[in-house]
Amino acid sequence: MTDVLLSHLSKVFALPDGQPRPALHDIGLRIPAGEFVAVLGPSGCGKSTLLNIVAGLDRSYSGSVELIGQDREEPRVSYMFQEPRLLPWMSVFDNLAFVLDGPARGRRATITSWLQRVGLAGRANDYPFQLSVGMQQRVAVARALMVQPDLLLMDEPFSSLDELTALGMRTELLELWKLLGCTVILVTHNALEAVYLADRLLIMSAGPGRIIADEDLRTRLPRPRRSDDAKIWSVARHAVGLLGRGNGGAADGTNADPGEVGVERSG
Amino acid sequence: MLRAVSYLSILLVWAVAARLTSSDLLPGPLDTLAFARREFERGAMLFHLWATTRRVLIAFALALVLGVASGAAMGASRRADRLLEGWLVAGLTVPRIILFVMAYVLLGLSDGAAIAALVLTITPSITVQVREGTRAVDGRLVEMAVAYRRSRSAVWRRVILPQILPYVVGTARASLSLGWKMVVLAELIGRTSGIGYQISFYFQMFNMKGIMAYGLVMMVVLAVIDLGLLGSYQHYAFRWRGPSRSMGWRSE
Repeated sequence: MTDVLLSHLSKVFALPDGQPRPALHDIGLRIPAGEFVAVLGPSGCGKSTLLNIVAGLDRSYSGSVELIGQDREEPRVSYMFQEPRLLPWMSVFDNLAFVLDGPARGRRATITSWLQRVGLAGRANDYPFQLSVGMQQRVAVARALMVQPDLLLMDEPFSSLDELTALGMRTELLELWKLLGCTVILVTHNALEAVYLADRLLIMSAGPGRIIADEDLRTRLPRPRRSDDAKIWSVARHAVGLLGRGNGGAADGTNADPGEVGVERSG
Repeated sequence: MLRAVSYLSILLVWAVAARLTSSDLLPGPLDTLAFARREFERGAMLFHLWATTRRVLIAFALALVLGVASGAAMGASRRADRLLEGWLVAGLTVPRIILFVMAYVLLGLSDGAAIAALVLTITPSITVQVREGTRAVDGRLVEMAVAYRRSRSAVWRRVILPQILPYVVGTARASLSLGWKMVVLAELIGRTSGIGYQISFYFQMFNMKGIMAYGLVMMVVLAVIDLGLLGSYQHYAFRWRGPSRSMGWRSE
């Protein structure tokens, strides 16, 4: 497990014509170990940039990012992307083995048991092109959790799946998370997904990206939750309302569909 | 079946054409094969075939190293791309025959000169292909590997190189066959061994059987190396790509 500490985090992109475009502005955040945080915001508000910075993929920013490991010096980080991002020339087994360290026998046992857990036992020797996108994304889930991460980063991991598959995988994800107890940062534009999954909801606005609301959901929505619970819908609607207000009021909370945050910025 | 028809029809057209002309000017397949067999038996064929093959393989290996290194550098770095662009354009546009003549003039009538000219002939097209391959590397997969804290060498070996490899193998096949054809030219104008030399020798003797026998053996050897060895390797190495979806519009 790991604490995540961001302070005065800002990021400016340089546009092709040399103009600076601020992407993140003065973000301060403390995520205690083991917490499941969802970051909700419209497209282009810098959610993915934030995640890339925390993951260490993007190192040109100002401010500070600290991952404070509880059990290990160097915390283990996993990243689930929008797409499965499997290496197409490796079998499912080799894709998983690629991110594991340690002796071969231990790796084999870990991979076999995780494939079973995500419902892909017997598909270890398949190549990614032989699997459906949903199955590929399940391999990506196994890859992300199998390394026993201290911190799990997810960038709209279920947005490329059909809703039924996504629903099943969210439930699975919650069960596996309970098992591992890692810190999670999930980035999404789906308010229902954010509210169903997270302990804590951060709402971002765009241009430049900053955090406009920080809500603890644990008292209002005790676990275990049901995805079709009316309370989840009402909290999600509330979240969309906050989002709309912070992003130019294109949506108001009362009649927006919280499953599809279509908050297009007007400006 | 259709393939067999395709190859047999060549032999048939050849045999008919030989029958229609006088057989000294255009010997038929059987005469040519008999001549090739005699050349094998007296040892000349293998001696010259090996001389030619050796030159091609050495030049090919050197060109592959140079082409992959320069192509990867140009694909990965914009500065290297600009710096080497002039050389690449010059290498692609220079008439090949000038390279061989100049190499013989500057370096003397030696194997070294022939190989150097061959390397210069082949390298630019390898460079172009590998540059394209390097530019096409999927950065998202590299990001994935970096996010999972894989070492730099693991990222190169297991994420980047496998993406460039199809381009390398594809261009290797094309360059090997280019080198195989150009080496005959090199031998014809400046060497005293090899298939090209034998062809010029029999040309001076007005012996069409000799010319065609050596030509035929070259064709067969290239087909075996290209289709047999490299082709099956390409097929094996890229089995992960799955069935091609672009074939749908072609009729059976």
